[in-house]
Amino acid sequence: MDFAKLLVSTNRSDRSEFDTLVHRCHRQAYNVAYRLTGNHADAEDLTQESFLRAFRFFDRYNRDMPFENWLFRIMSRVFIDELRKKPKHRSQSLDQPITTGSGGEAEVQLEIPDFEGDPERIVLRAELDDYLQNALLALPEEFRIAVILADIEGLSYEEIAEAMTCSIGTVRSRLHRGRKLLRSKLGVGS
Amino acid sequence: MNCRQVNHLLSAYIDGELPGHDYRAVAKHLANCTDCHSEYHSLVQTKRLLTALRMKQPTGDLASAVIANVHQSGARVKSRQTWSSRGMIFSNMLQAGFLGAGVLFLAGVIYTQSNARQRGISIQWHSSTINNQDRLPDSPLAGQRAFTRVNFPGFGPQQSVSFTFINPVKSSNFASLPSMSQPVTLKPMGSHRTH
Repeated sequence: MDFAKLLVSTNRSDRSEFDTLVHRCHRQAYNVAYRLTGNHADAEDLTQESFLRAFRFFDRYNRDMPFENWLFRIMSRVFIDELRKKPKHRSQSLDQPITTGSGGEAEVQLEIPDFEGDPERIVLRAELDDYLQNALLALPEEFRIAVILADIEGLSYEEIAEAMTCSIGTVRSRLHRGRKLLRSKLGVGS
Repeated sequence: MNCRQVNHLLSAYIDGELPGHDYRAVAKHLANCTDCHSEYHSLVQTKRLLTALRMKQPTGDLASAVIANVHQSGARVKSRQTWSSRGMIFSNMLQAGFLGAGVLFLAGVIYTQSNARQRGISIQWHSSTINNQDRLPDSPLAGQRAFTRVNFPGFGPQQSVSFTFINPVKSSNFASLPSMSQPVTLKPMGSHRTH
């Protein structure tokens, strides 16, 4: 058996399959990366590194599992690894109140209005987005990952457990505590 | 179910991740407990805020940048060493080993043959024909090697033969010793065991 030829052909087919998956998933991956890191540069780095690792370990990818879920698993690990490398993680204060320019902030958080078309509401939405993002960044990383995968990506507990390599019970607890923390940061219901 | 138990299950209840009996128990409790219901309501609102977040879009062509980065980095798909692939690698190594051993053996045979041809055929007298009772004092020549030329049937006109001097033995048993004048069976090196 010619192993060199086999390896070359396997690498080629892996590459083309991988490229297709990158095209399909990169937006979703970037979105999760952005919600995890809170800025464009880190989100791009995290996306790049996650795809790079995914390619290296592509033969471990079980085709029965959605590629996105597998990628989130890698991304969660890369994210936590990278954070551990950084000497100090910058967290933003949530004590400052939301500034909408037009006053009445409290109600803004509680309803999900239709922002389309209205320029004032578009600005409002952007500010709400920043406010939520800052609240997310204030969560401990493991709570943040669980909340993002559940509420932004809509993964099931089982899928999150796979992505975070933990039990479903742990997911349930992280998610519940994460949401409660988030609620207090956002001042929802108080 | 009490308020504390319900509180623990609220997020899972909101996400539809509770088994039927727990789900019904929480729903029943929420219908009758205003505190737990307001807790539930605030958690639903928190979840809704996140669900409604718009998707962040990458700037530029991120897909192409990712693909370029992956392929330029020279990264390769790491081959996972499963037991079957290990077996395959092992059997290949075994094959290579056998092949190598075969080549070495052949080389050895060719070398000894050519060496034998250059140096002639080496013969040592078989000392089992001599027993210790027949021994005389040791000869200074014993153990030394010498050459002579002998006619062997089937080995060309004359072959050079190397032999080793042995210690002298009593003349009474001299006839039992192999000598050039007596017919002896001589074998070329390789098929003849040196002693």
